Amino acid sequence: MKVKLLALLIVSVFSAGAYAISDISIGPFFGMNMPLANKDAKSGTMIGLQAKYSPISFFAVGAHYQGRKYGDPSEEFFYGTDTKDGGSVTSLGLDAYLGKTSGTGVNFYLMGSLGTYKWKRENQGEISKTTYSFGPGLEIVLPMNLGVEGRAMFDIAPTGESGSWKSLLWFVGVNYHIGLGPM
Amino acid sequence: MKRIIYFGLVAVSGLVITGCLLTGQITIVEDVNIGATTNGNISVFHLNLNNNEDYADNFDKIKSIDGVSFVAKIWNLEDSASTAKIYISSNGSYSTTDLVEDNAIKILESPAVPGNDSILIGWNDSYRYMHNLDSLFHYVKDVGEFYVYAIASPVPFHDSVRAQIVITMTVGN
Repeated sequence: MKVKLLALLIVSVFSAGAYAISDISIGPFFGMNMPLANKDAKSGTMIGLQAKYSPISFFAVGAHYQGRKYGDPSEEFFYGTDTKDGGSVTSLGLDAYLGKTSGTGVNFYLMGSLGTYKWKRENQGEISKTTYSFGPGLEIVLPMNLGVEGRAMFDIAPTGESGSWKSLLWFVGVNYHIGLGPM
Repeated sequence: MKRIIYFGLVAVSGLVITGCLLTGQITIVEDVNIGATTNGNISVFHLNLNNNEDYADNFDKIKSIDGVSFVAKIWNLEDSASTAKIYISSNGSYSTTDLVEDNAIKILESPAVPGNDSILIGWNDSYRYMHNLDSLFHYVKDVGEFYVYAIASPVPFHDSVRAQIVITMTVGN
């Protein structure tokens, strides 16, 4: 009996019925990475890829890859103004969404994210932290299964001594939807 | 919608409670004017970071030291090439290269400086020449003042060093 139920579940997920009960989307994004209260890095670009799965109408889970580039900080020294490498951060993470994340039209949600934070800079050792992000997002999904998404996130990487590095992240992205989920 | 607002409030409250939102990162730059140093008359500079207003204001609020390095211009006044070294200690009475090497902590070793020439160690390059960062971080975070020695090898040497310490740290309540 359990085997039949499992088989039925698998078939339903991969059949046309999945169109009505779930939504899977995947797509690239491009945006900005803006350090807050941080003198060791300047604003830079961010690119990435994300995937989202909406099994029910008010909840979704997902995963992302982000490549962030920091701008070079500068300081005044006895020999003049000088800079150092701001470096780049890569992050792999898992996301959770509350709100409308599937179906055509305008979708609005709040999301939270947990990810890795690997900061590489020239002449300095690699720093590995865990990062947490949260913020609102908006996606307009067109009937041809394409969505245009914008999101802003507050990102925080605790340094382990009650301190943290904070950034404001925002991006726009394009998602391709396989199934449009519960309407 | 109530669930969404509740989710956001819980996330923000958790971060505020843990203090994460109330910290920021600052960078301070302080002069370390070591000046002329020879094997017969080793120069020592008393570095009191509390003379820096930003450091003094935040000393008891330091959460972490995120980076320390020395930018420096080093003049080699001998005819042959030499390598400059910067040491730190809580003791300012070492008068020979042996005493400095045996008792102080080496925190910088420069590339070779050609005879009768100078080099500049800029901010980005400075990190590659640093040594014993854990000890240096301890002096910066927990002590606040120490002695900075400049020596060189080979002996005899005659150098002049103008430097600045650059400290990036996370501070907050």
